[in-house]
Amino acid sequence: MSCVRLPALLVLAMTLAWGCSIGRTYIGSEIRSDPREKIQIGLTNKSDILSIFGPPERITSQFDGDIFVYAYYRKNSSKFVIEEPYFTNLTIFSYARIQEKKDHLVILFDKDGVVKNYAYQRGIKELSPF
Amino acid sequence: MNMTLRYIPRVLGVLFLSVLMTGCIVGRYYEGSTIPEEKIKEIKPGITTKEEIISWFGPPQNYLTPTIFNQILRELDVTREPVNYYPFANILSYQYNRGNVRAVVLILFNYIEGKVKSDHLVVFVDENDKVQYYGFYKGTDELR
Repeated sequence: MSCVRLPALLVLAMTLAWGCSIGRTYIGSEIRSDPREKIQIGLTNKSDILSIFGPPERITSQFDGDIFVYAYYRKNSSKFVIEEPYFTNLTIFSYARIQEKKDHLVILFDKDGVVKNYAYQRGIKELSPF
Repeated sequence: MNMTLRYIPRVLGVLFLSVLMTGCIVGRYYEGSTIPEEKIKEIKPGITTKEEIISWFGPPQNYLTPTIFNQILRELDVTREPVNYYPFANILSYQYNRGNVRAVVLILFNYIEGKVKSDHLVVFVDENDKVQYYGFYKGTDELR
């Protein structure tokens, strides 16, 4: 009896296919310096910003000056699935977790190209591994 | 007891086979022309002209259709509009994108990693068609 039981259990285990997937996506480059240390409102100009942070991902022109936008995007995904893929195609259990975060820096200039204000958000530090 | 011990090699064999049945995926993606770095050192604000920039680096991308990379960024809501589509002509932008994808596909575990990095040059030109300021970043160096 036990001769039959173990292979049968193995077959059942192989039939109920289960697995996990981990995905990582990185788009763009990290913001190169801490803006709070490098930017001085009313003093830092466009040339300084370009040499410190490099070219922005996006530039928007407004009537009272330009806006530079820097962004670094990351996505972590984890998935765990137990399913029977051969006969019923039944998913018995599925767990998925997707986190999309970005570091985001927006710099506002006046008409003379001097920093008028800026906003900085570090979303990537909120990413958890799983 | 002996019966159970007899099956241990078989179970180990199945586990060993499942580890052996693995696959690797490697992908490389290149978009745009490389930016000639030796010419970047020659850019002098107040001296270099727009014509020189165009002759060194070619037509800027804000005169071309937005790149696929920027369309992806827009879809991901990283940027809401094509990055290089500036509605004014005093900014010349050049971008070279590279993407690396690698994956390990096992029976019970998959790991997929994708990275997209860019070399980006942006040049601001004044009303006399002279370079006002510029910025360059070589993001593709971050790809291993």
